Amino acid sequence: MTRQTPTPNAAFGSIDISSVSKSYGDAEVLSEVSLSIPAGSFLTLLGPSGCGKTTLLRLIAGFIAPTRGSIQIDGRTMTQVPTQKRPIGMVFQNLALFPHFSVAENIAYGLKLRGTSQAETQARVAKFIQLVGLDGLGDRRIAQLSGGQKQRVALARSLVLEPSILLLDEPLSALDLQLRKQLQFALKDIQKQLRTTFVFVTHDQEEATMISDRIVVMSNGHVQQVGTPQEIYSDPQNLFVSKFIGEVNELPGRVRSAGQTLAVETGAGTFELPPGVARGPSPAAGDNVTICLRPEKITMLGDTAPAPGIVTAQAQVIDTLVIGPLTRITLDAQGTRMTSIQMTDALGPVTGRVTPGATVRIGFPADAARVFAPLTADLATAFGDHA
Amino acid sequence: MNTGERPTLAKGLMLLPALIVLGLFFTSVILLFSNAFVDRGGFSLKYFEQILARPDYHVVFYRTVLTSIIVALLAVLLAYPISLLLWRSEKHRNMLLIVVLVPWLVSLVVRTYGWIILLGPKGFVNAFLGWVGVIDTPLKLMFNDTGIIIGLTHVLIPFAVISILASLLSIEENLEEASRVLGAGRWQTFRTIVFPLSLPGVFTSLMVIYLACIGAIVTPLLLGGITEKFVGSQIYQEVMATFNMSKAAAWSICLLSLSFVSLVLLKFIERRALRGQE
Amino acid sequence: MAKMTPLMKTIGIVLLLLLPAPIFIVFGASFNGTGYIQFPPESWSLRWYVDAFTDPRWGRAVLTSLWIAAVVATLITAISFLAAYFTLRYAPRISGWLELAIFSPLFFPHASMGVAAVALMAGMGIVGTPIAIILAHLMVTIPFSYRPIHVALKSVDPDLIRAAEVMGASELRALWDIILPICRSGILTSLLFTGIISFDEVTVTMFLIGPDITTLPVQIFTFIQDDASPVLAAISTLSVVITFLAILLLERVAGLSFFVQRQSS
Repeated sequence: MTRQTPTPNAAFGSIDISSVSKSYGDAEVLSEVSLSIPAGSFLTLLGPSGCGKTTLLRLIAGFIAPTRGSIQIDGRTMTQVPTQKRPIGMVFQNLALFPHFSVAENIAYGLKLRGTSQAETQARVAKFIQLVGLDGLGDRRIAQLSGGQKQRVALARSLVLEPSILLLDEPLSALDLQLRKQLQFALKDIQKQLRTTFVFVTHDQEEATMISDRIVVMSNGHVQQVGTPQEIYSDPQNLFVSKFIGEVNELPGRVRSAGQTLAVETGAGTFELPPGVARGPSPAAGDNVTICLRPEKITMLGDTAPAPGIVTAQAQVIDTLVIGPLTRITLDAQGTRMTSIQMTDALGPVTGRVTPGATVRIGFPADAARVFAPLTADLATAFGDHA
Repeated sequence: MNTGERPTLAKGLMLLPALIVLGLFFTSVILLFSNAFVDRGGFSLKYFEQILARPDYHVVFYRTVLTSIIVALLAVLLAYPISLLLWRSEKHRNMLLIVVLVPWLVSLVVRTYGWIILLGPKGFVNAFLGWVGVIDTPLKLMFNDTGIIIGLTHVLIPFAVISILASLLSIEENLEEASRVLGAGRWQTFRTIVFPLSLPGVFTSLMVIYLACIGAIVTPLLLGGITEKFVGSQIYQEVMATFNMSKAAAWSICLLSLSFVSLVLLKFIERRALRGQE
Repeated sequence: MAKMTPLMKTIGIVLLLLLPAPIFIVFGASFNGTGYIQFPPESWSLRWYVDAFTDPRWGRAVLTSLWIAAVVATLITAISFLAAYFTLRYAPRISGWLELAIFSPLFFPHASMGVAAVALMAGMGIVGTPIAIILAHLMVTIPFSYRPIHVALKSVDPDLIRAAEVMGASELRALWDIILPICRSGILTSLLFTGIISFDEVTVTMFLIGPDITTLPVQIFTFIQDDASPVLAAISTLSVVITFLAILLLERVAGLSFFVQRQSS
């Protein structure tokens, strides 16, 4: 399901991808992808390995040519433009730093190719060494740097040329968690300062949520959804996106009736939901569907009658786990495993009853649920790879 | 795979066979020196004086070194495109590698024999040219420096191909693409990234080929004949024809010092060329 | 990966094909019916092969070279394995020194090495015996055997050995069950590579032959000098075929990646 965005953005650094497909022999790794990336945005291509995100990045860079469709940068079609003439920079997964150059030489390389004067080269190299926080390391050899420092050299090397677009191919994947977090903030910060369009590829949904303005969720060569991190999380458009982003409770079931309300029969009970919670093709009676619920939407109910719009069910507490401010409750609703995550404080009044073995009444706002058609076979396998 | 255990003496015996082989090698080197420097029970430079006093021997040294330098440069130059071809053709690399390995590992004598058939006065090239009518009298392709250079270069190209290819293959992924994104064209990328990073293989080739050349016996003897002497063919004659072991040993030590001096020189050049490349 | 320009590709292919050309010439000459190499060839025949197989000197030389190659390859592989295993596992501190000693023959010009070998073998009074040839070949092949084995052993995770021994394996058992299978391709590379080198060695060997023993390449060398009969082409073809088969076998059982690995010096 691709989303058409007809108006091309004319500012520097905009990318318009129209109906791009890429095949190798019989295998189609990208099919009919259309995407508009506004100038100055921080956009992330997110998806499991093999979803086509890196292929899309390499198409934008011009390392490979699309089988069908075209890519425009700043309104100009790139089909005949070789990589070295495109207004792009790129940070590679393995960083691809030149091992026979020093830090400063790596950063100066592109300027030299452009015939920049020595004085200006020096000044700009110095400026970008500072920008990425590598002061004093200009003469170091690449082999003498730590992982995070190499990362910064790769970034400076691309940014010093002031490209209107920077492509980043999982550049943080080799780093340990702490360094990764640190560099995520640094990246976001630098992007805000320079207003360069960043196109970032990752398979890590948490990383994508942290740094991007917009996320493109991809799978099996298709764009599944485009939106802000918030939209992607709270309103996923299909089961794949819902499963891929964040934690989710899945209640497989069958539609009993569709109309004024959508009644879905699941192992945990039959739930009456407003028809607006369904995404994708509207479900009809008899269809197999999956109800998805974020864990934080499932609350423990007291003895009082539930507020209007709250759907309830009976469940047994299997286990509780207090993780600082949050408590994670594992439940069993007539054979269906569910997870609820609650603020520990908010559980106060009912804590006494939420103990392993106890039977509790749980509830969730009917409009917080999402109802999706089952995964198509190809998406299911893409998922199998990831999980 | 060091497990941090202390070795016992019995386990140390595992090293013994290798030490025996190495011991034999170093003993042979000592014997080489004693043969060359000892005459009638005392230290003597007699054999070296005999060699260094002869101007025609100077020519032999001169020819050997010059030919070896030419062959080393020529072999690397001709090997480079082959290495590039193998590097680029990921799919067929194994098959192409066999095409390189077979000529490398087939006996030197056989490969040189092939050149005799090709270059000899009654050989393939002369027969062909005569048949076509280009020449009346056979060209002298053998028993001169040309023959030696052709033969040695051909014999040693495969090694250069393999060692340059090894360097090319160790170039990290995406470096070329990175260079292109930064604005370099195909030729600039080759000149500034690929070629400098292949230099370790180039220098290894130069060194090994040069060494193999100055110590060669078979090819110079067969393609150069008796008149165009190489240090190797001279040594062969001292041992096999005049049975003068001491003089042969003296020649060998001259050869050894020659290779040592050249290696130090080449290492120095390499250091300068690869400055900062680690 | 970037593509080559058609021009560079053509140059590369032409040069590549020139490498085995002299071997094909020898191959063609071996089927030439007339007395010596002739162009264009007037007739084809197998007579040189018949001559080669009926002359007992050639049969003897081939067999000698083959059994010497087998003995040398087995011995040197065992010797290198023991030395590499001991140093890597128990004495990593001497590893650098040992390598220096083992690789030093590589920096010796072959002609000098030949003379040194005669000096040694003459001193022991064994010139002209198989022992002399075998010992010389051990000295020549040790670097080529040690390197693939050393590389293979170095890649073995010491925790694997500890794990096996914690589970009750004796050192010998761990060696047999864990280390040897992991190092399989390094060991096979050493066996076949040194076998090929020994089978084709001539520069050092030619100083050590005697009336009772000679190897195939040395005999070819002697015959070229005496009279270059096309029998040589037939026998050379045979030697090429043996080497070629050994290389194919090497590719099959161990792969060729060893040859293009960058030496970590």
